[in-house]
Amino acid sequence: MKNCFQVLGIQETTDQRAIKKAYAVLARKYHPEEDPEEFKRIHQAYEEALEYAKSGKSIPYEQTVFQQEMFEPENVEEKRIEHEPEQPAAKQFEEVYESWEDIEEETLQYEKVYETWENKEKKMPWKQELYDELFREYEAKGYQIDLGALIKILKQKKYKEPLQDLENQALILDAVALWPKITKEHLIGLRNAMNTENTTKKTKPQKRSRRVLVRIFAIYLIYVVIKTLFAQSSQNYNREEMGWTQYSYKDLYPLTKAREMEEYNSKYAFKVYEQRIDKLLEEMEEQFSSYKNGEKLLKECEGKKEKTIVKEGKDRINKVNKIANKIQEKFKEEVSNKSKTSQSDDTISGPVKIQKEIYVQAVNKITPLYVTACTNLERSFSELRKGKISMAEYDDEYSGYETELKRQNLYRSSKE
Amino acid sequence: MAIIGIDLGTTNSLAAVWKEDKSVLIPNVFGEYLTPSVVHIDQNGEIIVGKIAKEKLITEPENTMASFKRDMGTDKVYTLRNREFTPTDLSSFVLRKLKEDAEQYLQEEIEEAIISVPAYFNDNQRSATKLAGRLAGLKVERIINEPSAAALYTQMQNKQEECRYLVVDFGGGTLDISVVDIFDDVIEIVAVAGDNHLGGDDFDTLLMETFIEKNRLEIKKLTKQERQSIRKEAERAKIAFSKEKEVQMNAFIGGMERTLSITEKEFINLGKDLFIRMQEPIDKALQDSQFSLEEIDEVIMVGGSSHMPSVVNYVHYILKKEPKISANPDEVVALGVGTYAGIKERFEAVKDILITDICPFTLGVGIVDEYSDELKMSPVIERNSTLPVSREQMFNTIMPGQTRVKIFICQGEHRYVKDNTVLGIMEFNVPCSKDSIQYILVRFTYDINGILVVDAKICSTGEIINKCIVGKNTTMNEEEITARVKELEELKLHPRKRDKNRLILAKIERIFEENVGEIRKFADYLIDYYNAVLDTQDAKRIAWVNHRMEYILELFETEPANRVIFEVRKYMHDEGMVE
Repeated sequence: MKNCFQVLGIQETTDQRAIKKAYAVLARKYHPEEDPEEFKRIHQAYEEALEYAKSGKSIPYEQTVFQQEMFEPENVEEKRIEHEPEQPAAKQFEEVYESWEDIEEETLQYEKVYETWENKEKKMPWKQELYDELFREYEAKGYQIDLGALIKILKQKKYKEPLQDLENQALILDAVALWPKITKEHLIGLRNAMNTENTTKKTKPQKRSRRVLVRIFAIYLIYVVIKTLFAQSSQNYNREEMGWTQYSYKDLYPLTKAREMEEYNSKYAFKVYEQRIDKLLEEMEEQFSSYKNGEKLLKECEGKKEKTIVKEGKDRINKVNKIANKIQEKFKEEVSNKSKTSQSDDTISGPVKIQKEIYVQAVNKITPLYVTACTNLERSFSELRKGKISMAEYDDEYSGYETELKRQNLYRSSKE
Repeated sequence: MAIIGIDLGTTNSLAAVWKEDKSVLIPNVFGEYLTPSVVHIDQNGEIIVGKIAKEKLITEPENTMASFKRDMGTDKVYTLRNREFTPTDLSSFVLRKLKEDAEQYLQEEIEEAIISVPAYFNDNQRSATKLAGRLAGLKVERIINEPSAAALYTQMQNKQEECRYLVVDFGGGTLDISVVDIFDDVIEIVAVAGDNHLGGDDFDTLLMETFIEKNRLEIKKLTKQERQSIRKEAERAKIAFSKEKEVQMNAFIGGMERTLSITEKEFINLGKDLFIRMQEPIDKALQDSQFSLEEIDEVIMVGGSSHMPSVVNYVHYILKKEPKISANPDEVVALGVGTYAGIKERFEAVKDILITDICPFTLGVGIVDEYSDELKMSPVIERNSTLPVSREQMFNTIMPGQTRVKIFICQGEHRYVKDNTVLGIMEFNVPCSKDSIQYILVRFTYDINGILVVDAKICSTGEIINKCIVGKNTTMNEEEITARVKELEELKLHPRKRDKNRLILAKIERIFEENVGEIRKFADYLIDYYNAVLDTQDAKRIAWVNHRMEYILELFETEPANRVIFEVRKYMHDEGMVE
């Protein structure tokens, strides 16, 4: 890689005149008519050198196609995570265990941290069980992280449901975020306390310490497992990003980001779908509201022939039916579209999926209501014209439908 | 074989050629350099271009068309004598005429031309111009920007060692601003900006509207002829402002003479909005060039509208520098294109000159915006990048499992694709993967001939998809072009020999239509007289009468109405013309 001055063949300088001179000579040599590729390179260097001369910024290297290389097929392969990575952190943990000293009082400091997330934990009783199980596994394997076994535990039916929930996953990760607050010394102290069970002085903290350690470790394990699970599903997951050696919120970021993206995608798809149907529903509402105020409707009929009035009424009803059909078609279309593309319902997950189902149900319920209301009102209107019912009766009927529709339409109004 | 340079203007067109180490303008049949960009189809189906057509604009506006450059690159269709023409077709007629003049002048066949266009012409307009060249039987490899041509010629005249120019090219229909950096015979165009719909014609329209408004006329009730004669009068008034402080406009509308007297001050006040619009591109060009006003050594004004003192004063006022106006502002662009033709042919005298041009607009790709449903434009080649240029950028699919990608290639400065021009759409399949997004490397290459090549590379497979979208005619394929060339060739240009007689006749006909009463009767007499002379087919006599007629027509233009007949009669008597 050459920098811009090397391309121009001059010493690094802030003298604009010298840069221009060098460029003029080279540009003539590699005339744009004759050697456009070389000219592009020279011009790029010239611009950069001028920029440097003007502002005194650092010399940029000649632009390379680094992006292209980075995403070259073989490189992409390389970047994929291996499913059984090394566990430097676990090894480090072992070392800590072997070289502990007596710093018991430190553990007391840690208790405060423990209490805060124990409170959180109470809300999720299943976790306790999971933690214990994971830790037992960890101990059984001689303090080695056996991912296969840990994943097996996590994939058990009783944990499947809570773990699938993205929200719960996030909570676990929140707890894991406490991990960096625990220093090496804490752990050493805890282990120490566990080993001196015979001393009568401080039995209570000892028991507690043991419990705390179990929790912390289990959470750490879950953290590793979840990250690995996630890495399996994401090709772009980079081992460095996995953060084997650092434990901070930053490490969690890729997961949260991915979750956001997934949600966004599904939301986006849903939004478009929702807008289309909302537009139709609005049209429907408009049709319905045309029945409002019998007096006005009657006035409109004045001076018109009986035939045209009847025809207008039929047209109104036809329109309403048409819109209802359209909505149904839209639903069908959506279903058939889904089967056509490889995009399955999986991308629409969690709350959005539920939201969508609720929406579809709500619309399915309200559409026939509109149709019946309009048909009935049309009939009443013709009776009103013939004087069979009074104006007040008609208006009452309308407002009755209106309140009913509004009640059924709660989903939409709440959204607004 | 010479290459000619053509300045295809909104109101006037010129041609130039590199001859004997300098750029030389090519005269037309009347010995003039400016050929009005007006096309008329006469009753024999022959095409008339230039001065005669301009006269016909008043007498037969339905079969005549002017200012079609403004619609270049659009689907607009004009109907002249029951035949349909696009702006490209009409431009090709003008080019054909210029080519014929050049062939006559150089006594050799011309096959290649370089045509200048406003810097702000978009790619559709550029392709349309190239196509017009093809239709006129010219090979047009290169299109150059008008202000660049102007800068080139100015530099050839001044021969400055190191200098920075700001060139204001204010023509009949467009305003172009360019900032030029010159050193060691390298002419670098640094930035251009412009307004495609601001020009001298707008001042004509303004005066015309004022005339109609002040005389309480209704534009809808005026005939085409009346409208054209008011326009001509407006143009005359605008030109008169360069010498006079107050100008009177006269026109016969509905058999009555209407007048409007207007002072220069009033005129400037009327054109306030137009003047203000001039400032925006000047600011933009300066800002893009990253030069301060002090770093600009000279302001150069070219184009027909630099004849207007008010325009020059305004530029002086906003740039705080006295603009330099060349002796022939209408001809500078053409002479520059002529010089460029010399450079392209690699003549010895201009061999060392290197002119680099830029891409005046931003080219980019439409991408999904997370916050709205609109497509957003992601720039790939920023405006004012020196040509040739290639840039690449990485894009990715929206979601995992996506199978198809659509790349909108667009041009413009707006944030959303819908406000910009979409030049083309590239659509292709990408390998579908359920849980990963795909990366696509998009590369734009824009060369000095204005051809944009876009290629996309799917990173995971290494597959390359290629598309050349601009610069070649996307609207018409080779066969269609050949067919259209044949079709247009059927329409013959009016023979050059008879052009002079036609012009005189056309002028008297216009005088006949513009006037009433005595003058009209007299014009009628003149037409009969002139036709009788033409019928004799006596070349000597026709030449003699032609010479006298030109003087008589000048009298019509210059003498006051009440004296015109008296003066003409006297002259005819003195010359022995009265039968």
